[in-house]
Amino acid sequence: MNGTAPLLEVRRLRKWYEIKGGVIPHLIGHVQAVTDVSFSIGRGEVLGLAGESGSGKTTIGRCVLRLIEPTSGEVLFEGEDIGTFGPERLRKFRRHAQVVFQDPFGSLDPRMTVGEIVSEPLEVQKLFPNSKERRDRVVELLETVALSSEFLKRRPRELSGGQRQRVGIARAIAVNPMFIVADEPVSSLDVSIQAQIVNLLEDLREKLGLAILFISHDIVVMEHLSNRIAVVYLGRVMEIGPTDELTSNPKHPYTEALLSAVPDPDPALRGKRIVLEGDIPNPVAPPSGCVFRTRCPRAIAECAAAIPPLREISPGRAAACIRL
Amino acid sequence: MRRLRPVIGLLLIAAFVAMALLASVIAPYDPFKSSVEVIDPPSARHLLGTDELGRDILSRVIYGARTSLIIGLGAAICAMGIGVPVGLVAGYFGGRVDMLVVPLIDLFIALPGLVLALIITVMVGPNLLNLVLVLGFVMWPSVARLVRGQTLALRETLYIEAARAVGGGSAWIIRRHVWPNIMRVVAAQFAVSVSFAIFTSASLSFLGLGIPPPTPDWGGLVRAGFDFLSLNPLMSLAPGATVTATVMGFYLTGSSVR
Repeated sequence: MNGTAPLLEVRRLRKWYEIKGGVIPHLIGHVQAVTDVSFSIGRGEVLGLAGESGSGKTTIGRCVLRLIEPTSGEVLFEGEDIGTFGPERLRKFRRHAQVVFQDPFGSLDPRMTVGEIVSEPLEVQKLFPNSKERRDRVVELLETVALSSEFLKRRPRELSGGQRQRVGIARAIAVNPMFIVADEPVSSLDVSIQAQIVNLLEDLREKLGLAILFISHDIVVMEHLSNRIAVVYLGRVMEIGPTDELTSNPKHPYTEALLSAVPDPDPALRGKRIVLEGDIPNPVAPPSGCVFRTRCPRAIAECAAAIPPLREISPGRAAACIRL
Repeated sequence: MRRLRPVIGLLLIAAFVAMALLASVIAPYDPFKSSVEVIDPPSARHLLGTDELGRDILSRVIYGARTSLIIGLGAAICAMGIGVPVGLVAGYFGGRVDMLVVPLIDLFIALPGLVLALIITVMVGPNLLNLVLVLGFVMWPSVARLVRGQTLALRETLYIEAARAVGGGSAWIIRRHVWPNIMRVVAAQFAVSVSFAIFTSASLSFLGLGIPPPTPDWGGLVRAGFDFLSLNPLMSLAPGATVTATVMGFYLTGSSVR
């Protein structure tokens, strides 16, 4: 961070979906997908966003790119509130902030060729109006993601999962962005391919100085790449801190539980496994106080009383738990 | 049979289009020219016989293909012209337009097409242009419903979200992603619409609300032959068969696309 303004700053982001019901439809509740989430990402920094499915990770990713409109809160990009952007300014913003989706099968238009898919951002953003130059740029991008010009005319269905994800990445970096949201970019891939894609993202980060919001349910996948990790549960940040510290010495009981679920190849080093009982609660009616208390092995009566704020526990580290 | 459907369909369409385009070459006589040979039975000179004004029935059936082609294509183009944009806008943008369009579509679809066409034709009067417009007007809601449904499903796809994420506006996304992905289904619906238009216009003509004479059209020819069924049944059966074959051709082709 070096004391300068962060590239991206998220302040008390909230996304609640209204639920309407009844004979005469009226508001009967909210799906509390994301509640009061704050974090920041510096230039060239990778922030891992970890949490179970249904924890609101993807919603956060979509909000910071304004692919969906948050209910409240701000997302500042280079100090500017992206919520205030009009269509033209938003289009310019999309030159700087891009996305890689989880599902490389669904995120590529089946009717388009790889060349068309990768050149789409360039056309939309009118970056290479000359079609010859645009083609060269597309080939260059394909080479950057370790594909070659022979893929230009292929269609998504002819590619493997890993190749499709490379195409998805090439599309994301086509506009030369500063920031990428990688939403579970490896979860749908074979384990052998996952490492390749993570390594590719790491290369790109170095080469292009990319900042990345790396979303995953798997803390191990993000460990190598992430400078810091934020752990979310039921749409709220439970703990945030530098990767090494957070993984070696988790503070929040939920982080502890997530990490204990990671299998260690050496049985001697295996810690006691903390098994969480039950399922993630219903986001329509989350538990009072700390949302994690219903599954927390360390919960006490006071946990139900008030929502624990995210408190700094050491420089750069914060956790939301009254028992710390 | 599944594989055969589009083949048979396309062959029937090809035969029909060839008949319409090459009518002046194939037809042995001028379809409007009367002669003294009134209601002749089929013979070597008049393969299907002659009608009450001594006109060659075969030639009239062949020229009737032109009328059907114009009505079929014209009405289907009108239906697409209204239905596709309405369906795209309602499906892609949703909201108020959608809330307005959907009940309208449902209302139209609840009414039988033939009855609706019949009522409007009575009001505006039967002629070629009116028939094309009326049938197009009757058919647009099914086109709109189809396009809306397809668009609605596509709108939620990740690749459309990806296109928005790179800054693509609505027009860009509809042109580059929605339209190419629904084109096949729209083409199929086009063929089905042609078949419906030809069938319905023939029905209207049969009921006396079709193309005014002396223009030969198949529904009208069936109707005219009705009075002479005992003398020359081919007078009705021949145009009836061409309607059936053509409607089937378009329908088989259209319904085999999925």
